[in-house]
Amino acid sequence: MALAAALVASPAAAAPPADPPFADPPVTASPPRPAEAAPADPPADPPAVTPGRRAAAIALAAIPGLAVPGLGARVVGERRAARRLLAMRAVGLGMMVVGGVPLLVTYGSAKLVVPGVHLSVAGSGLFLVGWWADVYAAAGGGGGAPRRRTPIELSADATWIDDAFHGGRALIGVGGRGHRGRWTLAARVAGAHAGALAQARVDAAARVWRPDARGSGTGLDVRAAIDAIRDDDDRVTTVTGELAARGRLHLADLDRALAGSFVELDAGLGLQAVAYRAGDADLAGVLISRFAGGVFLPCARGEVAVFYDHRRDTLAGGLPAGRAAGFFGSVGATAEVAITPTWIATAAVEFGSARLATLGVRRGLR
Amino acid sequence: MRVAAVLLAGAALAACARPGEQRALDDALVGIADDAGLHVVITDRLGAVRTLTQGRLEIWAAAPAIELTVDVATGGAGRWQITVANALPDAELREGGAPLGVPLPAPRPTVLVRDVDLSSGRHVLTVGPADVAGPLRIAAMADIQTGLPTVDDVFAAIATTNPRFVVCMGDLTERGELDEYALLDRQLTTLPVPLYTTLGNHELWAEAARYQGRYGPASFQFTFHDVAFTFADSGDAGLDPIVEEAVGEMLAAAADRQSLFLTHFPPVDPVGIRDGAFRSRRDAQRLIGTLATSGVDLALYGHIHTYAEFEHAGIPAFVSGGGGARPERWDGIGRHFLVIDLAPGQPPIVGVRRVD
Repeated sequence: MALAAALVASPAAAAPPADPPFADPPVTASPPRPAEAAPADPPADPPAVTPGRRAAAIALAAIPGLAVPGLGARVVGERRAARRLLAMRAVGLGMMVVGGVPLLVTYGSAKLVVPGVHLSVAGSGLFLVGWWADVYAAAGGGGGAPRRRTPIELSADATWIDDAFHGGRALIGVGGRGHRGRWTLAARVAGAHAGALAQARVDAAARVWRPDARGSGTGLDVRAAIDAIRDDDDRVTTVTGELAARGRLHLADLDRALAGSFVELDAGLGLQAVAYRAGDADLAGVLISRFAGGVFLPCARGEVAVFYDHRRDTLAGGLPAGRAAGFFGSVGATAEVAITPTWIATAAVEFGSARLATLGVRRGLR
Repeated sequence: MRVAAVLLAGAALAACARPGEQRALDDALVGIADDAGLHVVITDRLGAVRTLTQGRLEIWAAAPAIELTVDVATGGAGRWQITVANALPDAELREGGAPLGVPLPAPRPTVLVRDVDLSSGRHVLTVGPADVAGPLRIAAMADIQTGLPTVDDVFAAIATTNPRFVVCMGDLTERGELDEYALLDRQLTTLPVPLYTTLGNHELWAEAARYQGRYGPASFQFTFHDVAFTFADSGDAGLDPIVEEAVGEMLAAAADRQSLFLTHFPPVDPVGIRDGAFRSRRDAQRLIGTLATSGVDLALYGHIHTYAEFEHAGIPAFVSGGGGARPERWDGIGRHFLVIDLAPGQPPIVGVRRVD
């Protein structure tokens, strides 16, 4: 919903699929603007910007730009991008207000939690990523493009988990992911400490908008997952079912000055079953709400993103956020870099109650 | 520079991974004082030494029965006025089983004042009532916060149910301000029975020492009428490992008797998707597993300003956040408290009473 709102004014046409070594089908940026375009539109060629002006634009976008949407883009002459960022952040702010104020007024009424948190988190994502995208536009963008995934990918990774209760634990995982048409199916198993901590996860997704599951640019997935974790150290086993919608918007769809940056939102619900060493098993709901913002790497070699995940049932848990402890989820960053067209290095860090760092590699099969 | 910024941010996040650690360490020092020729230790930290000056010792009791070890130096020997606040109305000060000192007029039933002649050397004093067994009725509440100015309404309603004492799951104040604590102490004068409590996240808006110096430790256990009451500090939406280990030991020690567990944050919100609960559900589940293996009979929580009855791991659990803080809307409850009847060999019977 948030992505749709942000795309109200976006050009929708996508080029026919192609399969270059790294890149998605070229994502349509701003359409060529005719000479009779509105005077407020910038010229077709990027405006020349002096280094001093660009530095000022970055500084303005970074600081007052938090409150003045699109300031950096406007200073470097990208007025259309500035207007689109203004709209994106206004939509985000509106969602934060519409979702957050009723929760505040009702002091967290159980009746309003699902729409309230989803709107607040998704709105925060649009608002914050819009801010970051303005800095990106002010800096001239990176020229990155979405990477096109191979039909099958096999992966191996190592995760270091550190928390106050167990100290450090290493989790070794292997997995695979396949794409066919609009469909994606993925699975991963991981284990640590001679099996004291074990995780298995199966993901399935259908791309319902721009239905090419191999593309990593704009798209909307409906996804489902089963995630099971057995922790013998904690004497707890959990099995969580998830159903969510995950959308990604390549901001080139808003304006070419934003090409290479993206926002991603994930919203849904889950149900978790918990078995303890003693006592009855429990069932508890899970609210899935996450946003990410990032950039595609040049030559379509991958992407780097930062994220906020509102969930607190994951291995990371929620941040010990001082007076706000118990309200926030985790934050982190992810990166994937194609070393060759078929070898991809991956990395991730996540900070919550626990701290996770993951390094991995993927092998693409054509 | 970007790498340095990321590393700094990571270090900052890692540094705050145990926000309750210092508080847990400070808990161990609660109930100890040394001045004016006296060295006072409250056994198991079941209270706070509020005043220790020449001739005056004032204690705040955090349990129905407490024990003081008083070492009197030569310079400290003489007449002392010992005041124990938050005591049961029928509590008596004793040494070696015999009543000690001359009773002095007390401002209210929950204050015991005695004029005592202390000789140099060690004195082991106890403060408590005569009854140690039989059925027990208590009240439970949490989340007073902005309702402090009118919490005497709640206390008055509690008094009508004739509990032996009140247990509280934290959030006594809104911001932990000194004038709020002073107001709470004034309001507690309207309550004819003592109130034993842990802290909530709102007490952490100011330094926790303000709380610990007034009401005692945040994590502790006492046993009364063969029922164990275990309070845990979850003020940061979780237990510090020190607290978790101590709670595990206390609960294990109480496994053969009726056992109540009290903390501010519910480990898991009964409305799971809201997550007004521990910051890590995995930490919460580990605690619930400990409650289950320790045979806890009843778990009491606050934080969410509503009333909820539920179970985790088969343990009856209640959220009661109706002490007067801004209420959750549309839950049809408002200000309220719990009345809990405990009898040997019987499961706890819990009722809810509305105040408004």
